[in-house]
Amino acid sequence: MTAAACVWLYAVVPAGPSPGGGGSVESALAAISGVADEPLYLVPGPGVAAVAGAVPCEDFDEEPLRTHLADVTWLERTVRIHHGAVDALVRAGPVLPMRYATVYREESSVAAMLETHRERLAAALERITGRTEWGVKVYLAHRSATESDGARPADQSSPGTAYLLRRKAQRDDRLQTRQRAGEEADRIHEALAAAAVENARHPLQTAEASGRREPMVLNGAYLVDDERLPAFEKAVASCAADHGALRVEVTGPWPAYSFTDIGGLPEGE
Amino acid sequence: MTGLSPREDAQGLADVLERVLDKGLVIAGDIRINLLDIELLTIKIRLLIASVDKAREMGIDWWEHDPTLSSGERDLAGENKRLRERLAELEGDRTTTKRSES
Repeated sequence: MTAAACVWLYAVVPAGPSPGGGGSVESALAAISGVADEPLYLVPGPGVAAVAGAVPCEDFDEEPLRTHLADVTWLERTVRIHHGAVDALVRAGPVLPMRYATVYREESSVAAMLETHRERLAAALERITGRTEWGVKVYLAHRSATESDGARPADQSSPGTAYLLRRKAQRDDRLQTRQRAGEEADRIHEALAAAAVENARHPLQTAEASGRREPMVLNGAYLVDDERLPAFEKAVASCAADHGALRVEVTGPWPAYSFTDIGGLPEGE
Repeated sequence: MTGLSPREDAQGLADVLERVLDKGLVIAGDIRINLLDIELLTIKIRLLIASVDKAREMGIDWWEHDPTLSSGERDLAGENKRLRERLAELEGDRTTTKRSES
C-alpha cells in the first residue's frame, strides 16, 4: 500500500492564460516545491484554479499536523515555504493566498470547493488584479529629554535633584508622546488609506515580536493600485516628513494576504 | 526615502507570520487545526533564530556542512573523530593567523 496523499492548498488563481502577460502560472509552478518538498500542480475549477501539492497524510492529517505545528522549527520552515510559493506565483498574475494549513483529504473536495465558491473567488481575484499589498509600520522613535519644554529643572539645582527632575520630565514627556503618537498614527493611516484601494489595521506587534525596542503605533496594510504606487510612495514619504518623532517603515510588496475576504461564507464552510 | 523595495529578512519574520498564519483566504479544508497565538509563535521562532545565529557567530556551524549530522545520523565514534579533526583544524587556523599577523 502506498502512502495516502492529502492535498495542501497554496493559493487560488484565475484558470487559463494569465491576463497580466507575465510568466505563466505553470512555469512559475515548475520552479517551486511545497511544504513536503512536493511538486505543485493546478486543480482546475470553473474560471478559477487551486494551486495544490500532494503531501503525505501521515504528516499532514489532523493528528500528525498538530504535532508538527508544535515544533517551531518545522513551523517556520513550512510557513516560509508556503509564503515562498505564494510569492513566486504573484509574478504570474493575480493570486489569492490560502491561509496556511488548508489541507484536504481528497482532490475531489478541492474541485468541489472551487465549484461552490466560484463566483466569490473570481470576484476576489478581480478585486486584487493589478494591485499589491504594502505594509506600513510606524514606530515611536526615542526622543531626547531636551525636547521636553518647560519642565526642565534650572541648571543650578543640586546634581541629584536635577537628575531626578530630569528623569520625571522624561517620563511625563514619554507618556504624552505616546498619546500623541497614537493620534498621529490614526492620521497617517487615514492619509495612506486615501492613497490605497483598501486598507486593514493589524494588531500592533510587541517589542519581542517586532525585534525593535521602539513601541509600534501603527501596523497597517494597504492594497494599492500598481499604477498609483508613486502616489502611495509620496504619501508615505510625506507622512514620514510630517511626523518627525515617528519612524515609518514600509514592507512589501506582499501577496494580498490581508485582502482575501471573499465574504458570505457560511459558518464552518 | 529610497522608494519601496522588496525586503525579506529576519526582521520581517513577524510580518510573514502574521500574514501567513493569520490572514489569507479562509476556506476550511477537511483537516481542521487551531493555530496557536501568532505573537507567541513569532517570539519563539525569533528566539530560535537568534540562538542559531549566535552559535554561528561563535563559529559553531559545523553541523551545517556535515551531511551525516544534518541528516540526523549520529554515530558517536564518528562524531568524536570529526570533532577532533575539526578541533585540530581550528587550532591549525589559529597558528596560521598568528603567524600571518606577526
